[in-house]
Amino acid sequence: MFFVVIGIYKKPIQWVESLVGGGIYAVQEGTYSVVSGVKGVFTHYFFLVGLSDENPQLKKEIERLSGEINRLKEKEALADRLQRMLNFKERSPLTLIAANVIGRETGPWFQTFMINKGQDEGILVDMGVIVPTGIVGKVVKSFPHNAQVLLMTDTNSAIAAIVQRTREEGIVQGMGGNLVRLKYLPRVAEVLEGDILITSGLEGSFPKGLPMGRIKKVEKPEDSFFLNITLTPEISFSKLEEVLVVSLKETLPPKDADAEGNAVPEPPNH
Amino acid sequence: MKTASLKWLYPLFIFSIFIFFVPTQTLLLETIKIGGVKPDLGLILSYLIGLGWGRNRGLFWGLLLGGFQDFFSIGSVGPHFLFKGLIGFGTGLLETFFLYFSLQAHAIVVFLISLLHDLLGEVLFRGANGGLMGVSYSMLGRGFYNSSIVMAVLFLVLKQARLEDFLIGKGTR
Repeated sequence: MFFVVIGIYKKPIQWVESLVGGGIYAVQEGTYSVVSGVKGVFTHYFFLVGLSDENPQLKKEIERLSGEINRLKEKEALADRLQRMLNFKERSPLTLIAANVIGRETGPWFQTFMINKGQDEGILVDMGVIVPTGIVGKVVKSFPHNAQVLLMTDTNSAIAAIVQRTREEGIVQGMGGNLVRLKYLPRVAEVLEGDILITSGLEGSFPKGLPMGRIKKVEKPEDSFFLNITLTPEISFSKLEEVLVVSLKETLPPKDADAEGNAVPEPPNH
Repeated sequence: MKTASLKWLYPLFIFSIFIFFVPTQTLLLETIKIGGVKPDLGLILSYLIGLGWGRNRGLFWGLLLGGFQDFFSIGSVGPHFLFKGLIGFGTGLLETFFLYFSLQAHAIVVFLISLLHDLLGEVLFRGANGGLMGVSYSMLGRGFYNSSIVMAVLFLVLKQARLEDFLIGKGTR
């Protein structure tokens, strides 16, 4: 009975209810938005405070990890280079002494570097210095525990060479910078740009057949008996870090060479 | 800055030269090469020592630094020894004249000294092999590099003290 009475009397005030309820709902929603906003600001504020504490730590961590990545990359590159050297050394019949480059020339007039092996390790003056991709130069000074190597690009360097394709002989001399020239090849010589030059083995520092570089330019000057030939060595001399010194005791051609001593050059990735 | 306050630098300098000169020239400066050109520390120091400490010390240190460079080079002992000695002595001799030079004037002098130094070496070591190329870009680059370093050092020194104060060996020379 009570509920029936309530039901009867409720209908007329429904519009009041919806009016008041709507208003309250609007206020409720507004309040909720404001409270959420303020709450959000505080949450973000405290979150940012936390972040600002965390940020230096993360920066430090990034720095540490960057250093670690660099160190690992360096180790990987070193392992790669040493692996290539080791492969070459194992395949080669030569007595090769591995050495690290520990310093460069003191003045501007020569192109040399210092290695960390010397007389005590069997390094003697005039021994050839190579890397798997080609020849580097010769030992010119030897001390008990280090030695000085003259690069083939130095103007004082001269190494006997053969053009691999035509078997013509000449002398490779440095021109300074990263350039090398082939001297004493007669005008009639049939050399072409791109021909590979190898060591002739005549002077004793290097065995026959080691790659020296490719012919870059051939010129026939009118007033000379000889060709002007410029080479590009396939080695980046300024980036050398490890080298192999060829012991003078053995001068056999490398295993990779064919019957005539032609080298099979490795990809120039040194 | 008082003259006496810089005297403690001298033994420290001697010690540093003996220990660090060659590694710095052969390794450290390799890392700041620009276009394959690195500065010549021997030349720079000879000039600065001559300028700062007079002709006797300039000569002594020039000869010593040049001797170091010759010893660790493949050339015969002599060229660096002689040239650096001359640079140290010459700069020391003209010290009072150089005193009135601006930084730019010092830079020009060092540039010309460096160029002459490299040219003489070129004639001595490359001329005989037919590889004489005259003034090269690397010589110009090295001259520019050397003069920039001298200018920077003098700027730093002059920022701290007048050049007269830099002459710390005045009483002992």
